[in-house]
Amino acid sequence: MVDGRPLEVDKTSERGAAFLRLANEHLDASYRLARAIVRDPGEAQDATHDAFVQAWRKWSTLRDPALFERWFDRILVNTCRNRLDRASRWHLTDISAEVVLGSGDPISDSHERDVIGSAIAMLTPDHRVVVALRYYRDFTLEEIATRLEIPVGTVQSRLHYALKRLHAVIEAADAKGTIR
Amino acid sequence: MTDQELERRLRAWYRAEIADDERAPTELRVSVAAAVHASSISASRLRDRLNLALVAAAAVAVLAVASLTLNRFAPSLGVGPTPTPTPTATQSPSHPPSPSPYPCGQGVGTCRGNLQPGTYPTNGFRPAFTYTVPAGWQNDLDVHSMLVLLDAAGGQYTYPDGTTFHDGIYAFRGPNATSATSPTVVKGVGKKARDLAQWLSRHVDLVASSPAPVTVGGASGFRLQIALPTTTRTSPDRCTADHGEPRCESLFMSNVPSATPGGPDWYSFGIVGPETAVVYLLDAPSGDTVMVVIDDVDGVDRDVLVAAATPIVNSLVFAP
Repeated sequence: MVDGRPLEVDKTSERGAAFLRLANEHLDASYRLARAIVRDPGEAQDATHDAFVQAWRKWSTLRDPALFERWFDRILVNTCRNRLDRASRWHLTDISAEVVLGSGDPISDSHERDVIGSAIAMLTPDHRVVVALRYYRDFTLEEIATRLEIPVGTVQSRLHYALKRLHAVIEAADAKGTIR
Repeated sequence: MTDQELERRLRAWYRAEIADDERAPTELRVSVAAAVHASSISASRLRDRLNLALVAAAAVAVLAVASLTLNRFAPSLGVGPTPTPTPTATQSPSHPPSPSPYPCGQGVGTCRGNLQPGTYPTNGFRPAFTYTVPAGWQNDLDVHSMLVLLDAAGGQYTYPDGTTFHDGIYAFRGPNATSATSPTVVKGVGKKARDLAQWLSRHVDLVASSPAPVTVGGASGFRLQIALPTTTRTSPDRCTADHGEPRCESLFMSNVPSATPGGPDWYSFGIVGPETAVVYLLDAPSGDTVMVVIDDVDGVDRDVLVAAATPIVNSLVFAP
């Protein structure tokens, strides 16, 4: 008996049904998390699909279904990060000159959204992941570390450098009066 | 801009970007369900497909024998460098690879699927080694801590929960002796081949042979055979909950510190019902302990499987 390898399961089995029940239950939240990391809806859809396929292959390795969310989050986050790696969607360029002045409530303002979104897109995949988990999911550093299977110190470090980068890019845009 | 201001803007951005009630597209829901169903292949269909692959590959079996011979003799002669992992299984246009019945890839290593006869290097498994197969074998998994080669002609066993496992060769990196009652490491058992072989051979709930010294592809260690006794085990085992099989024994789990159930470096290995196994515990040149198991999952055709699988195990050549 080996757990940890792909399994072959009859589609009518209870295990298959159990997986699909949990998949359906977590699908929307998983898709939203993928959106938070990769942003593009099509990419998020593909990443979520791939993550569920991978999870299904590993389904026999999950002993406690109560841990599904944490277990699946890890698969999903890794899938998103790999897709970002492959797509090289981050470009280390100065966007501060490209954005234009917005007005009104900065949060509802599409320009503010563009600036923040573009700044996040400039982060490395690892940094985008921790930023999304911290500020979209509101996870603690410890919770992020658990999901990513990395030390808390590494999470702290990634977050530190991600915020430093975001500071620099957004403040440069702000200073040029392009935001408000 | 203060840190707090940046954090506020980030949170606001995510809230504006992704509505709390945003739902996954319907096609995603459909595609996930379809993928799950598509991976459900009946045992009989799997066997049929693999038999076809076996016939298709028979024409190049002679080449496999030649390759096997060369690779087994070169290291033992002690002349020249260790054979370079040569892709002798280059695909002939007249023998295209058969499609794998397993959904390989998707970020879980680089499984090769049905194998043409020849020598292959591991892709993801560490420590790296090469292995040589004749026709009729399939690479089912090749990740950091685990590699699986399935025997197309081998048996299979379906557990009460519907999970089916197949005869084959399973390699594991860094096995740890595990407790029968909880997924934890047994204290006091070392991690080297000798420690694990001794622990296995003295396991009260196994029928095990005495460990025999072996050397495989530059790794030394021990080989022994194990099976479950027909008598009742001394204590309940948590593995019963895994697949609903009342007769089972948990034996090994990954020793990768960060491995958690479901993670890429996690595995567990035990023995169930009629299953019998030949276990190689090896100290690889890299310092890693590697366990290679010839696993007869149904306990029906052990001798045939061992005869077919042993040359493959003996063909392993570990990287220095």
